Amino acid sequence: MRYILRKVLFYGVALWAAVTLNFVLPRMMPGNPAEILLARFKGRVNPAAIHAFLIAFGLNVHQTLFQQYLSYLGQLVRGNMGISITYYPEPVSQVLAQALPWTLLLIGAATIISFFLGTLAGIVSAWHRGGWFDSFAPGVFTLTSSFPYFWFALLALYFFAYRAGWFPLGEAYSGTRASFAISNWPDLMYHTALPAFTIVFTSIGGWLLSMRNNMITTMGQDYILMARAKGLPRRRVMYQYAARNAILPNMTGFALSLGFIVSGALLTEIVFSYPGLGYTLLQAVQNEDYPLMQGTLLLIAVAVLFANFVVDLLYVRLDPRVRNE
Amino acid sequence: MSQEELLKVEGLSVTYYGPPDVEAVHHASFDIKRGEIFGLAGESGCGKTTLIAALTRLLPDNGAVTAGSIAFAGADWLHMTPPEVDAWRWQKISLVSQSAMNSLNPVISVGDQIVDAILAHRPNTPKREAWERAEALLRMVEVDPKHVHSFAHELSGGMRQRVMIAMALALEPDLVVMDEPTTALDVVVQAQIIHQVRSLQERLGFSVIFVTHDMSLLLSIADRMAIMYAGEIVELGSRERLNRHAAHPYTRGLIDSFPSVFEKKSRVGIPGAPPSMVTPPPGCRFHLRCPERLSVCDVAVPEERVLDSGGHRVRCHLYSVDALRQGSHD
Repeated sequence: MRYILRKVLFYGVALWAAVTLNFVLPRMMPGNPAEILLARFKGRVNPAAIHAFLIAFGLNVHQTLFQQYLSYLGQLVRGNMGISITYYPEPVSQVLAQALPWTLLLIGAATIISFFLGTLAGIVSAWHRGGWFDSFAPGVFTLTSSFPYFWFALLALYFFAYRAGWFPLGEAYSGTRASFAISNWPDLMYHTALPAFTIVFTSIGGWLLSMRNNMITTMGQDYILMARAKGLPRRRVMYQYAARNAILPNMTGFALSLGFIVSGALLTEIVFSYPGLGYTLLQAVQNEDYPLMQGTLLLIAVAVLFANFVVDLLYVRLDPRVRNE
Repeated sequence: MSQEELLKVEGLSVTYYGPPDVEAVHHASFDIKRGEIFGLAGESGCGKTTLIAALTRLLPDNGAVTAGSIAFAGADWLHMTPPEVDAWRWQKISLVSQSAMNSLNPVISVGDQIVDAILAHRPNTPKREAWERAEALLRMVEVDPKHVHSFAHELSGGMRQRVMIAMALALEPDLVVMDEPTTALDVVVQAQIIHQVRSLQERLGFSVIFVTHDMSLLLSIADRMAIMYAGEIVELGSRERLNRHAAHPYTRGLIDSFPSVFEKKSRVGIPGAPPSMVTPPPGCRFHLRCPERLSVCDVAVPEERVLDSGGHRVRCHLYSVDALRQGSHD
């Protein structure tokens, strides 16, 4: 219980730091978003409108920095992250809310599939060390992991979607059917399959190799020998004794990658014109859309913290040693 | 004590394939009777752990038995198939390994690990019964039964070793192999555990192979014992014989190198270091360090001699009449 309490406290402080940095950083950059917006309207705006914009963006020049900070926090609590410049006049929260589900679907599924397949392959590879699977899998998947991602994604798009026509050329759904209704899932799967495949294919090697290494170290432990001496079924030794211990160090890596799901896979989303958060972030950067950038970065930071928090809680179940730390 | 033979090892050789290939055990022969504690002593690297691994059929992939046979409870143990061996494990032969610290799976509870062994061999046991058995086993080794729900890191070193012993007895095996079970423990705990092994063994009647490098410990617990040097059994005999009439210079060296708790005597020890097992010395493998070496020791491999009707055997030229007649001290 004390462990959980300490974790909650830690993540609370980390969250506050992320939120505060998110407030400070854009204010240290030259220029201000209202001027950028004005530049777009080429000066055909009256001074009262400028003032209204400044307030809308939380950049009230008549407030001290601390007052701005307080009102920023106040707005944040109400879910107000300002108005996007790119998608003006849509509020940032709404832009993010539209992009988030797509990213969670594509990158989330791909990350989890990659972790499970890679870990399983690592277990099998280490258990049958020197066997037929072990003699090709680590090599092959190290190779695929070292492919430059955009190159591989473009190739896959060219051959499987453009030439062969097995997959759509991009987007997350056909036409305007942006719905997560059950009836729409075949269409979503159809669009998600190829980009998800490219991510899994280029990231599985990392999981495989680290799990294989952990397994080999663990298999040298005395408790594995004891489990064999007990005459336990091979499968039980492999999973309950070896893999169960070997997976622990990998959980931290998995937590991090879960957090970064939200940041989207920028390259994937560009190559496949996928309407996710990575694509949104790119738009924000290209248009100097500070509120949107701020909102996206904050979302990523929160997601990373949240994923780590969940894995920390999971750790309590997986590793009894942290319970009375 | 019945004199029925439980295990008979004959001419056993074990090689680890290299490069270089190493013959870690050379032509070892001994037998273990039902209900006795059989000691196996020798310096680190003398091949005792390899011998144990061969006996428990737990040799690593690069190790293999190259000669000899093991008859265990009437069966040809070395020619049993892996599934047959698995079925016999823990039911007939169990292991208490070198390091109690690392022999328990850190992420599952002590009880789970005992129940695991019970259910693997007696799958029809109701779960509750298996857990009650686990608690009873802990009680038997004087560990509070509430510790079935504990994890390895929550127990002290001595408790872990008791748990390992309890686990080894879970299916009432005929033979318990104890590979340096007390080496990592302090002397007080060591004494308690030895006492416990002894009394459990008297009560339940299983046989024990007790491996250690601690001669004084062995002389207090074992019924009979074998001394290994450089992969060979150089002397074998009853505790009484070895205590009073240790024949091999190496055995005497070992006995002299440990301080006795009961009497005051100077420690002599054995000069030099164990030889390389890749290229063992010619002749007697001990001749380079032997204080009583004869010229014949450098060239001729000593035959095994039987010294008394109780099966006291030694592999040393000092007891070969011919060699004594021909050779002289260097």
